[in-house]
Amino acid sequence: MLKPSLVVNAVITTLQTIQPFVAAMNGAQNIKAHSFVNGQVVPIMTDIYEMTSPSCLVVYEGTLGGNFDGMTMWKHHLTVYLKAPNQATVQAPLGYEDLVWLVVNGAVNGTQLNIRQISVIPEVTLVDTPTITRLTDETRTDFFKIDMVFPEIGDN
Amino acid sequence: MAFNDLVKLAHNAVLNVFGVQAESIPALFTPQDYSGPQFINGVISPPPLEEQVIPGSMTGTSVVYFFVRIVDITPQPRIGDKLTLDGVLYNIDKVNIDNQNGAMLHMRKVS
Repeated sequence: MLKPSLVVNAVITTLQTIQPFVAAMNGAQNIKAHSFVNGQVVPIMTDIYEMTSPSCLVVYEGTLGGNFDGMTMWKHHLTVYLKAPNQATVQAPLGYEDLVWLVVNGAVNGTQLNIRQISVIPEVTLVDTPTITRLTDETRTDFFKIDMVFPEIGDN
Repeated sequence: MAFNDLVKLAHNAVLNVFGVQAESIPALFTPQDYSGPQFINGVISPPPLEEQVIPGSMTGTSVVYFFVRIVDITPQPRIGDKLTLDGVLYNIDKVNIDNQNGAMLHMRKVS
């Protein structure tokens, strides 16, 4: 099985090349990962709650195992959480309708292709079609998550 | 004395004792109507989840609930305004106004 952290890092690096998305997030430093290291970071529920505005958090949710086809044994499930900018501090802020579009359709790596049309690293194939969901946090603030599943090629 | 007047007295007493001004924490309110920033008083209140730093500290929590006497502030805070608490910039995401002229501002830290 491929190290999931490699996929997480690749997704972050790729998202940081979507220029309009980086601008909407007020800089690439606000597109980051949650790492599950006890004693070093807060629990994931707290980390999502504490997301500043705007920001993007990429989280490893787990790996699906199975004999999906002759060459796929593992599917790595990542979630991209988004907290949108606020019109209090940003001129013409983007809403979630546009932010999720930038993630799934924004041109990456200086090409005309989007994140669904490339392998973020050679060990995974094209991402399965993402699922986009609205959520509400403990402050009753709306936010969105984008579920992405990356099939691993073979067994690394 | 009317009930609301009694509550107003209670609010003022609470703000005088527990307000950020009593704690020497500057709270700079910037309304969106370009009327200019102004210092206001309020009480930092418990949010849904506590965080690892003190609300209003220089590092600042991500979420702050801030109680104010809304009728004492002109223009009245509303969604889309800003508030800088001890140098940390927050967006006002929500304003919950009660029947006694108080209001709870729901604020989230700006990245």
